[in-house]
Amino acid sequence: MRQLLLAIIASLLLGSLCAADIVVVVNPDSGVESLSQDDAINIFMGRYKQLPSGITALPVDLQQARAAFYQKLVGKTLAEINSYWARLVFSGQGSPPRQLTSAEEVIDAVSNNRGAIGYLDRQYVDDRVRVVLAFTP
Amino acid sequence: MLRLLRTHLALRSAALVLLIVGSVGLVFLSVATHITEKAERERQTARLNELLDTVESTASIAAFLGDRQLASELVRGLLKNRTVAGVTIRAGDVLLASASEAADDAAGLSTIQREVRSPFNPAETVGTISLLPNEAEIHSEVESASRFITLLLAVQLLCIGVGVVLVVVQLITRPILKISRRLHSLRAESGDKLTSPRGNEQDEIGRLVRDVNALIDYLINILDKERTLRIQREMDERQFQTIFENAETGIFLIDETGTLLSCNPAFKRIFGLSQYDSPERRQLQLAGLVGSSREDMQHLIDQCLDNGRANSQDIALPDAGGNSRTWINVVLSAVENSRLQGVVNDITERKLVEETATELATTDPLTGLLNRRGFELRLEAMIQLCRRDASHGFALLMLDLDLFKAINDTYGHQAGDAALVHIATILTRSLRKTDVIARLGGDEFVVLLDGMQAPQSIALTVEKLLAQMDAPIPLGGGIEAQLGLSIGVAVFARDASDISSLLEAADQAMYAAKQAGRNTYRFHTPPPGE
Repeated sequence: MRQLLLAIIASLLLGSLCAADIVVVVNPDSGVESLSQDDAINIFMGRYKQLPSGITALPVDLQQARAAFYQKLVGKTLAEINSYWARLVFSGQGSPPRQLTSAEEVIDAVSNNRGAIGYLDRQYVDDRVRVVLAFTP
Repeated sequence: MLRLLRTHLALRSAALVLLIVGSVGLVFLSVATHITEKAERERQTARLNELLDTVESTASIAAFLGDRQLASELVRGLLKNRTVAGVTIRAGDVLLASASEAADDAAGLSTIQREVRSPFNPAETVGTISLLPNEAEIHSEVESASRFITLLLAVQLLCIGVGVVLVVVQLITRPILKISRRLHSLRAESGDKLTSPRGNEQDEIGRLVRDVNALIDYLINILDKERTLRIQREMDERQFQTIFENAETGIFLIDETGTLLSCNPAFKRIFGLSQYDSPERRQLQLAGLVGSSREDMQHLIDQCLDNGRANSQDIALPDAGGNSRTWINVVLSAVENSRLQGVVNDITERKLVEETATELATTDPLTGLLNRRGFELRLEAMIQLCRRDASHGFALLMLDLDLFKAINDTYGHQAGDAALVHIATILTRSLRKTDVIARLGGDEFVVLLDGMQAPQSIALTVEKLLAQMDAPIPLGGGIEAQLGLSIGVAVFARDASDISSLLEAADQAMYAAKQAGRNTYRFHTPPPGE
């Protein structure tokens, strides 16, 4: 009975991790080979306006992966992130990344814009984008 | 004001208590101010820290993004708080926003600075936020707190002052005033006692009252004793004064020079001074009061000063005519400070009695002439005189009445006595006052002729006597008789130089005269040429 319970918890955890295997991707022509987590935070939270290669950064959010991504990136809930952006929007100084609704849209946006940077589940990654940061479990 | 404090115990106590409480209060006030200021600073700091806590996340975002707009809004918001005087927000070295209300009090003040962490990475410092506390606000807070304490203190001082005055007046001043008033009207000599104010019987004031009563008792007792003693002394003095004033004895005091210092009425009476006279004021000399006896008095004074004992002497006091009618006895004795005290008694009467007694003893009562004893005394005195002065001499006549026995036998003793008295009269009449006439007994008469030695003058006197015998002698009752005298003469010191042999010599001469045929005389030693 106990062994059965442990097996169920373990399988649940594994499943969740597999499902949240999110990677940060950029345009292959952006000149960026890899990103540190701090760089990612600075770009996605609006601190850095440019990528490390000097191209103007254009971060995009993937709506269904947002909660998991920010949880991994800065350890904050979506509500906190929304509150953060709300303050900045109110002061008129910054705006949150544009929100896309599917992995396909992210790939499209990144591959069509050299400064674009986004995130998606690893299973949707293809040649049109370059993975620069993966959250190791 | 100082006079009030000096004269009022309650005010003085209150002033002292106020001074002490006020000093302590000032110390408390300064300590309280200091503590209040510190507490206020801490409170301010805590408040500012709370403020910083409140704005930290926003500041963190502003610093993270280098967002000047957001920082400025934050600064403006913070400055609305009264306790904040200035705010500065930096992102790294870049000044994002800064503002302060007053520029002047920025110096030397402790700003509260806090590092601002990244909102996404607590390990990363993205900037700083500094708050400058509002010093004026702190001061005004401290001031108002101090003012409140001061007010409390003042009210407390006032209450204590009034309280002390009331307590002291009620508990101390009033009872003391009551006691003082009672003391003023207390008639201690009539046995009045001080009563303790109500309620103070058991305390120190009651004790004071009891002590005062004990003291009054003691003093009254002493006064009574003193008074009794004084009355006793006055009575004694009056007694002595009375004795002094009324004594029949003259009492006096003189100094060493003989000047009269004090005397009583009897003294004045004796010396014939007025009772209103005050000889002590006139510097009267005692020796000057006795006239011709001055030397006797001076001698007595000197003697007394010399031997310091009591010395007594009888002194004749001459009357205005210079005759010694009065005799006084003066006793002088030395007292302290070379003064002499003395008593004077009028002894005239005693002297008279003495003289009378002497006279009685030496006088023949029938004829009034000296008797044998009187004669012998005079004879002795005369011999003494002659022995001192060799030129002096006298004659002794021994007289015997012829036929006296026959008259006695014939006419009786009365006739005999009359004859004897008549002879005495003849003798007294015929002789000088200085001569001594005596009747030795029976019909035996004797005469001392003072200063007479020459036989011629003796014979003349004797013959004059014999001549008187020629007349008949009245014997009373109309009877007369012819009588004769046989006289024997002895001359001192030619015939004898002592009493008995002189008498013997005269006696022999008298017998010789009788044998020669009566009414004649014979010398013991016949004069040459006879």
